[in-house]
Amino acid sequence: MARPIRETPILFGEDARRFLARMQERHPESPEVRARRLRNYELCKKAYEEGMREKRAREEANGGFDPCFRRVETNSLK
Amino acid sequence: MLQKSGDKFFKIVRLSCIESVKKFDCGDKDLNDFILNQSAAFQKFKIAVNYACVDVDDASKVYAYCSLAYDKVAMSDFKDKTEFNRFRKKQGFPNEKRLKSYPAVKLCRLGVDVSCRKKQIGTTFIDYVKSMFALDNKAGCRFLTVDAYLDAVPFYVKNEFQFMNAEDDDPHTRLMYYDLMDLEE
Repeated sequence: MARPIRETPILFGEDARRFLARMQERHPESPEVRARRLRNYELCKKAYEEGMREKRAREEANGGFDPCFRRVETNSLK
Repeated sequence: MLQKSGDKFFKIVRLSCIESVKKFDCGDKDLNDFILNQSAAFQKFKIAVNYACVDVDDASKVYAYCSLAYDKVAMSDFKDKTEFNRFRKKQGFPNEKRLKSYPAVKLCRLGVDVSCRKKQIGTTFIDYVKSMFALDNKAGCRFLTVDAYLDAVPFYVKNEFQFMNAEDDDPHTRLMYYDLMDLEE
């Protein structure tokens, strides 16, 4: 079974101090990284819109279920 | 980079709580197990939302998978409250910012199929999530958090994530975060 995801801990002592200090500093992206990120964002936004439009069409054509995926029944969280 | 004959390489879908991917192998047994067998339950009980990057022509072919959940980053008082307040005053925190916790989104799981490695799909998806919660957010969110597998730590470092604890000796993962204020010009 998959390992549980660790919860984000409460920070204290030196970790909290370091964290708060970093929050006060500015660490802006480089122009190249910013351009790449925004390009990827636009690409993914379109990919999501198209992906969901097609998914809804497959669901409509197959009685509410998308046959590209496996149907699962879940009654509890493991 | 992510182009296929001039067209997009993938599409993204949000899975419903009765759906799981048919086939996926990111090379990690543990992560595969979560994605194939457990992720739908997290979606059903509203613990996480699952997204899949799928082939542009065949949506049953999954290239990457991601689960997101809301989270928070919280700080306890320092050794004593006086010390903590003195620090905050000294750093000039405005009154409205005197919070002990900040809203965040957790990358619960992020996996890329072995067939799609070295195509920067992970970085592309991280860029998407960063921008989504900075530009198109429906609720306040300051940080992205992740409990990164040790072999994925270089990937998150490359994507400007920071270590949350100076001394983290967990044998499997490292807690990391990204400050979305870093996206401000």
